[in-house]
Amino acid sequence: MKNISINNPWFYLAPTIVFIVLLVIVPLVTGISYAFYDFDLLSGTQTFVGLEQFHKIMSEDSLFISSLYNTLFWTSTSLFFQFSLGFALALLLKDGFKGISLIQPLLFIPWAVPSFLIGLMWVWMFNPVTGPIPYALEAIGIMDQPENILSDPEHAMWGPIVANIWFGIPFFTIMLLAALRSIPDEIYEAAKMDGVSAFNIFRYITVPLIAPTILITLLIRAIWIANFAEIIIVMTGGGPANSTQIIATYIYDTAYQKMDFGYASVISIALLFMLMLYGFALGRLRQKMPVYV
Amino acid sequence: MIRGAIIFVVMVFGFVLWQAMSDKDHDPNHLMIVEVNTSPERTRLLRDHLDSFEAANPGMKVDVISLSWGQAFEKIGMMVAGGRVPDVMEMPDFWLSRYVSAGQIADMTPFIKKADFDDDIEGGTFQYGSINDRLYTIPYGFYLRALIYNKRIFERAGIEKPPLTLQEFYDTSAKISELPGVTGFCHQGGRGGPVFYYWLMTTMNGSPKFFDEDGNSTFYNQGAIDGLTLIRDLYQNGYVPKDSINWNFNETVSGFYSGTCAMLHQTPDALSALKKRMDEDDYSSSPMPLGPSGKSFPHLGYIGWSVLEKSTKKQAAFKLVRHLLARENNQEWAEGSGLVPIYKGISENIFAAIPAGQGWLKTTQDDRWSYLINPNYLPEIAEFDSITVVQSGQAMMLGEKTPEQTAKMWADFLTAANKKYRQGKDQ
Repeated sequence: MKNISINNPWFYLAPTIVFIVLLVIVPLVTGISYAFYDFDLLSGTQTFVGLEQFHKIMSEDSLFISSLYNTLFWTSTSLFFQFSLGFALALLLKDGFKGISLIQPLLFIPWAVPSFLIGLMWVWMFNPVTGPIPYALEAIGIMDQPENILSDPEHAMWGPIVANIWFGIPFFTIMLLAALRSIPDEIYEAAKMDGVSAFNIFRYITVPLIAPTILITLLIRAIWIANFAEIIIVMTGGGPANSTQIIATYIYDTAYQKMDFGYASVISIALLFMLMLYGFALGRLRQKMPVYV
Repeated sequence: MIRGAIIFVVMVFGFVLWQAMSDKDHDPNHLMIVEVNTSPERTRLLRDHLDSFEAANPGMKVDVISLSWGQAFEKIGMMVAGGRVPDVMEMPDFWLSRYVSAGQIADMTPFIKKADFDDDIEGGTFQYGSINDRLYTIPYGFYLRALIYNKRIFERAGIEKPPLTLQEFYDTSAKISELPGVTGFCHQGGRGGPVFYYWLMTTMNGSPKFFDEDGNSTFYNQGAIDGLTLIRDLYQNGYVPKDSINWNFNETVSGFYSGTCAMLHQTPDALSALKKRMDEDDYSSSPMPLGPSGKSFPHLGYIGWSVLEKSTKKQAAFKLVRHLLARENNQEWAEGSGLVPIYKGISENIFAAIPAGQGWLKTTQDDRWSYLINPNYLPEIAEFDSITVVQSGQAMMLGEKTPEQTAKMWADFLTAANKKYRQGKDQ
C-alpha cells in the first residue's frame, strides 16, 4: 500500500492513463485483432485465419495498389490547393479592409456544411443537366462540349477534389490567420525601418514565425483528407471503374458492402501504418526547425 | 463548474441505466419494426397501418425505427451485433441470404400460409421469399422493370412505336441519337444498374436461369456475351449519354425528363417522379424488348417483411406481418411506394388506370414475358450486385475490358458462389 501515496507520480498520471487505455488502446487493439479473423458481423462468427489476409493484400490485391495511388493523388492535390488558397486568403484577411467584418464570417461557411451535403451539392453542380460547371468549362475552352467530369475515369478524381478544396480552405484560413495575427507588429515595423522589401519580410519574418502552425495544420489535415471518404462515396461511389477509389472508400466498401470486417481491418492497418510514417517524418522536421520567440 | 459537470455525467449515466432497466424488449405487447428507407409520407403511412394494428389488438404497441437507405444495412448490422434486435424488419431481396445464413431470420413456414391471404396473390410471392423451401420473408411489393419512352422524342425522330425486339431497341437508340443533343437510352451505370445487364444477358440466352444444371453460370454463354457487346456498342457509339456510366436512379430519371435520353429501363416508382415534371401525354411505357428466342425476362426485385429469429415476441410479430400485407394495406402501401402490389387484382387496376402503365400491364399478362429473379439465396449476391458488376461493368463500357472478359469474370464469381452454396446444402 505504500506505493499508493499522494507522493507517487503515478497517482496523478493514473486518470489520464486509464482514459487513454480505455478510449484509445482498447479499441485500437480490438480493431487490429479483427485483421487475423474471418469476421462476419451478422452471425458474429469469427474464424482465426492468421496472416492469410495480410498475404492477400501484399500479393494479389491490385485494387489496393490502385487505391493507394489514388489516395496519394487525392491527398496531395487537395492539401496543396487547400493550403495555398487558405494561406492566400489568410494573408488577405490579416490586414483587413472595408467590410471585412461582413465578409469574414461568410468565408467560413463551407466549413460548417455537412460533408454529405457538400457531396450532393457538387454532384449536381457537375451534372450538365442541372449544374453550371460543364458549361463554364466549355466556355473557357477546357472541354469540347459540356460533359460530366465525374463520368470520365481519367479526370473524375478532380470532382471530389474540387469539392474537398472548397470545403477545406476555411480550416487553413482560420488556423493561419490566428498564427499571423500573433506575430508582433514591432518586428514588421523594425524591418520596414531597415528597408526590407515586402517579399523578404514575408520570406524571413512571416513564414518562419508561422512555420510551426503550418506544419501542424498540414499534418492534421493530410491525415484528415486521407481518411475522408464521404465526399467520394456520395459523388462517385469510387467509380467509374474504380478510378476514384481511395483506401478510405475501399475500407468502407469492404466493411459495409461486402461485410468483410476482417479484410477491412487489414486495409485500415496498412493506411494507419502509412499515416504514422508520414506523421513521424513531419514530427522530425518540426524538431529540426529553429525555435524563435 | 466541476460540480455541474459531475451532476451532468451522473444524470446521463442514470438515464442510460433507466433505459436499460425499463426493458422494453421483454414486454410481450411491445414490438419494434424497422423500415430501411424513409420519407415523411412513407413513415406516416406505415404509422397509419401500425395504428390500425394497435386498434385491432388492444394493449399492443409498435415502435418504428426509420433508417435512411444509404446507411440501413450497416445500422441494422450494428443493431443485431449489439443485441438490440428488432422484431420485424423490412427486407430487400439481396440482403435476405446474408441474414438467413447468419441465422438471424425466423422461419415463417409453419406460421404464415398462403391461405391467410386473398386468392389473387401473385403466384411466386411465397417462393421468392424462400430459401431451401423455408419462408423467411414475404414480399409486400415488386420492383418490376419496363421500358418508359418519351413519345415526343420518338415523334421527332420519326419512330412510330416503342421497340419490340432487341434489334429494334438498338436501331431505335441509334436513330434517336441522330437528333442533336439527344441519345437513345438512359443507361444506369452506377449502383442499382446491374439488373439491366442481367436482363440483357438472359434475354439473349433465351432462358431466365442464372445457372445451368451443373451449377455453372450462364453468363459466359455466347448469348450473354453478345448481350454485353450490344450495350457496350450502344455506349461506345454514343447512343447512351456519356456520363450515364455512373448514373444512379435519380440521374437516369432526370436524364429522361430533361430529354437527354429517350428510353428508360425502370421500376414503376420512377413514374411518380416523372408525373411531377412531364405532361402525362408525353411518355408511355412498353414491356422490355424481346430477345432472339422471342422471349424477354425483365428483372423482378422485391422487398418484404421479415421476423427476426432473436425476437422474443414472434407470434405477435407474425400477426403484424399478416396485418401489413392485408389487401387494403397492401394497396395503399404499393400506391405510396410505387411498387407492383402482390395482389394481381390491385396491380391490374393500378396500371390500367394510368397511361404510362401499359408496359407493366402487358408484362404481367402476356406469356412472352416472364420474370428474372436474382439468385438471392447466394450470400455473395449483394457484393456481386453492388460492387463487382458496377465497377467491372464501367470498365467494360470504357473499353478497358472486353465483353467476353467481363462475362467470364462475372460467370466465375457466380459459379464459385453457387458451388459453395450447393456444397453447404448437401452437407
